[in-house]
Amino acid sequence: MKTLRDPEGAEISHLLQACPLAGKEILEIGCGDGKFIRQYMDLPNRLVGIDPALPDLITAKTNQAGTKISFLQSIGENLPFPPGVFNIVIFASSL
Amino acid sequence: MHALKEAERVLVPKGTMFDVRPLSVDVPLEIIYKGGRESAGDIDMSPTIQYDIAADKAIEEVLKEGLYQEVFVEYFDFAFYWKSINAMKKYIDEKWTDQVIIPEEVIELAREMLNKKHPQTQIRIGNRMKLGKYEKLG
Repeated sequence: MKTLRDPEGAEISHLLQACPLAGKEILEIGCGDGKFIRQYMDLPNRLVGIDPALPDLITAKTNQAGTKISFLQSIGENLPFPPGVFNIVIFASSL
Repeated sequence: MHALKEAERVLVPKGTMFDVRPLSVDVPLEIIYKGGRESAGDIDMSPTIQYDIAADKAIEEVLKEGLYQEVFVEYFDFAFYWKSINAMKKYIDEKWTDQVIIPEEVIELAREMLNKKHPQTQIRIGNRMKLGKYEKLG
């Protein structure tokens, strides 16, 4: 009864072709349970995922324990960061 | 709109903003198998069209305000696969509640196609995705 989601990796391959992520400071808005963010988590220098849904964030944190990703409960309209700190902001199905 | 302005605030000068999201575009429910594929008909994705319109309008406004410039927009398929109609329906009920309408005749045709027992048969829905790349101005 399993669902296979994007086994071809179309989403991540299009993102990687669009922009190098290595060494960058990246914010993903709408990270959910971390399905997308974990596909490129080894590339950036710093990676932050935000989402308003706490249960999803708990799943994301559990799956990513020990990695350098930070997960925060927040919304895109009020980002808890100072100006000019990210090279890349990704709206992941969250606009 | 506010989120796009917030993103612009936290970006470095010339920083990059990506808008990655599924579009409310009708797509076929396909039966794929070794050596072929058939469409059972289209899935109605219109219930979420208002989100597309709102997001497109928000992007248009921040471009007009000169906060970003468009670098490019491209489209691709984000595919989902199942081995049975029941598995597909279960996923749709859980994850896409009120977001898609699959006409009963499409389900019935898909069921008939599955019953042909081609080798390695799967159900496929390829959601149309947008990837927009924008650069912060200033």
